[in-house]
Amino acid sequence: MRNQLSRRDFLKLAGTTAAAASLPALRMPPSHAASPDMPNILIFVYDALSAMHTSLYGYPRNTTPNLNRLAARATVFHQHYAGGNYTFPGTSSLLTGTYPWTHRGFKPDNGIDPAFETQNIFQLFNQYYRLSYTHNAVAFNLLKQMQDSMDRLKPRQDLYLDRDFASDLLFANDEDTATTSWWQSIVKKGRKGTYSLFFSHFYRAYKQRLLARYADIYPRGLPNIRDDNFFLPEDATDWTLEEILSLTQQDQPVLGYFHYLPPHDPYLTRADFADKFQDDGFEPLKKPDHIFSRGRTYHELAFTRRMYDEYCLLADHEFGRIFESLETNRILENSVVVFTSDHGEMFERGIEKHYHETLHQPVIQVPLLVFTPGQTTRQDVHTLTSAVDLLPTLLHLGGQAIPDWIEGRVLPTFSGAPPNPDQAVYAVEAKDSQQYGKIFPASLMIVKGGYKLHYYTGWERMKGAGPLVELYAIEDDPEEINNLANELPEVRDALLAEVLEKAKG
Amino acid sequence: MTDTKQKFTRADWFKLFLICAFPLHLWTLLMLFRDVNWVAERTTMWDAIGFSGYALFYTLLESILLTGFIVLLSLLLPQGWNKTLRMLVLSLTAFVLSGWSILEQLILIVFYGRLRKFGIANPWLANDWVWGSLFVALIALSMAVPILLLRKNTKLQDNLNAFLNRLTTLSGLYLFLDAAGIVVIIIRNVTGWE
Repeated sequence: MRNQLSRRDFLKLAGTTAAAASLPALRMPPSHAASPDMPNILIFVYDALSAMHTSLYGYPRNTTPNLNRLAARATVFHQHYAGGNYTFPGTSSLLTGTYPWTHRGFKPDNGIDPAFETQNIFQLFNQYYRLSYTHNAVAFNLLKQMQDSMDRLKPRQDLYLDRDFASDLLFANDEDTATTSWWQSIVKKGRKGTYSLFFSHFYRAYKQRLLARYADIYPRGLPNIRDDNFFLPEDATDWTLEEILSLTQQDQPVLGYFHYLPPHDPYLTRADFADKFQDDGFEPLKKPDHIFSRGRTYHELAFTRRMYDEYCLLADHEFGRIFESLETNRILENSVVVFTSDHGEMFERGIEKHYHETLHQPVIQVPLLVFTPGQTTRQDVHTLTSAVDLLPTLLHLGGQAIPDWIEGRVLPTFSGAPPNPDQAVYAVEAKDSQQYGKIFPASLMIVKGGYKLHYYTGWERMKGAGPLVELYAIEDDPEEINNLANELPEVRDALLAEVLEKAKG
Repeated sequence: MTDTKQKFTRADWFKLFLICAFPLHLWTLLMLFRDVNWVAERTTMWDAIGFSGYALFYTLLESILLTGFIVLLSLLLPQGWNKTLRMLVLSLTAFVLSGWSILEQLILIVFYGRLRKFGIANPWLANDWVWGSLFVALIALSMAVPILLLRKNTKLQDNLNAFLNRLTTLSGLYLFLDAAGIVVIIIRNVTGWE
C-alpha cells in the first residue's frame, strides 16, 4: 500500500492529457505486426454509459466534450442498443455476437452457455495477442469463463488500491464464497447492513485512513466496488496505455478488451468535475411513475442524475487521454478503436440506475463509435444497430469469415449493403429466470420499423398481473411518453409475436 | 453477596465470552435468515451453507475480540465491587455496545438512501471525531444509569444474573453452529468441494 502520493500519482491525478500522451517519451513507429488486413482491435467499454446522457447524442449537459471532439474522426452510431440492461447479458452479447436467449447469460452466477467459452471474440481472433481487463466483478466472471480463449486476463485486483483480506489471505481455495460472505459480514455497510457489529467499523476506519490522502482529489470518495476494492480510474488508463504501447511493438496484432467501471455507480467523480452541473438550470423531463418504480422522487432522481452526469465527465476525460496517446504514438494508423458501453443508466419514472426490470431508452441505448485506421472524417449512421453487430463487424474489418452462430450482422457503412428497413434489434432482461427452458420472469424488447415494444412478464413487482406491453413510435417519441399499445394493435401484435418467437428460440 | 474481591475463574471468563457472543451471533443469524435464500437462489444450497459458515466464523472471531476488549475493561473496574457486580457491569457493557451498534445498523438499513445522498451533499458532516465523541457520550450515558441502579439494588443484580445464566445456554448453541461452520469451511478449502 502506498503511503503518500507519488509523483506519478500526482501527474496522472492532475488530469493532464500530456502525461499519458507522452508515454513513452519518444514517438514510436507504428506497430509492424498489424496491417490493413489485420489491424489491431482495441475495444473500450465504459460501464453503464447511456447514450441518452451523452452530449454527443444531444443531451443538454455537456457530459462528453472529448467524445464530441473525437467523433469528428469516427463512425458514430445513433440508434445503438445493448443486449441487456445490465453488465452480464450486455457484455455477453458484445463478446459473443449473440442475444441473451442464445448465450443464456442471464445472471453471473450461472455464467453463459458453455458453448460460448470457445465461441467468442477472443477465440475468433486467435491469431492475435488477446488481452483483457475489467474493474467490474460481473464482467470479470464472464471474462474468466472465456479465459482459455485469450492470452492474458489481467486480474482485476491488480489495479485496485487494496486487496480482499478474506479471499487473498485466508481462503484462496474458496475465493468466491469467502469473499461474498466477507463483503456481507464486514465490508458492505449500506442498504443491507453488515453482519459484523464491530469489525466493520474498524475495517472502515482502516480503509478511511488509507484513502484519506485522496480526499482532495476525489471529494465524494474514491471509485470503488461494493464499498470496497477502491481504485483510481487513472491507474487503469495508464496501465492500458502502457500495455498497448508495449504489445503493439511485438510480433502479433493485438486484440484488447478494456472494460472500465466509470460511470457505473457509485458516482464518485474527481474534484475537477464535481459540481460542474450544479445549478445549471437543466430540468429533466418529468415522467409518470412506472409499474416498476422504486418510489424515487423527481428531486431524488435529479440529484442522482447530476452525480452520474458529473461522473460521465471523468469517463469521457479518460477516454480522451487514451485516444490522444494512441494518436501520438501512431497506433491509430493501423488499429480499429471501438468506444461503447455494455448498458445504460436511468433516472426517471421513479427508477434509478439499472438494477431493475425495465428496458427504457436510457438504460438500453448506448453509444457506439468506431474509429477505423487513418479515418479523418465523421460518418453518422442512424439505422438500427445492436451490440451483437460488433463482433461480425470486427471480423469483417479483420478480413475473417463470420461463423453461422453469430446473430449480429456487419454494421452499416462497413458492410457496403444498403440499410434494411426490416432490420430489428432486441434486448432481454431475465436475471431471475432459470438459465435454460422458458425465459421467465422476463423483460423483452424489440425495435423495428420505427416502433419499440416492451414486454414484461412474471416479475414480482407485477403482483401476479398479466403481461404488460408498451409500444412507442420511437423515432417521434424517443422519450417514450405516449404508449400506443392500445391504439396500434396490429403493430403491437406483430412485434410481440416476433420477439416472443425469438425468445422461445 | 459475599464474594467481594473474588477473582474470576476460568468458568467466569467463559461465561463472559458466551455473553459477549450472544448479541453478535443473534444479529448475524437474523441477517443470515434474511439473506440465505437470496444467496441460495443465485448460487447453490452448498454455497449458501458455505456463505453462512464464513459469516459465523467471522462472528466467532469478533466475539473473541470483543471478549478480549471487555477483559481489558475489567481491569478498570473498582476493586471494591463484588464479583457478581463486576460480571454484570462487564456483561452490560457488551450488551450496550452491541445494542447501539445494532441500532446504528437498523437506521442505516432503513434510511440508507437518504443518508447517503445527504452525506454526499454535505461532505463536511464526515467528521470522525464528532461522530466518535457522540458515540462515546451515548455509550457512557447508557452505561451510567444501569450501573447506578445495579449498585443499589441487589435484587436487580440477582435477577439479571439469572437472566444472563439462561442466555449463556443459548449462546452455547451458537457455538455449536460456529463449530459446524468451521467444519464446512475446512471441507470447502481443503477438499476443494465447492
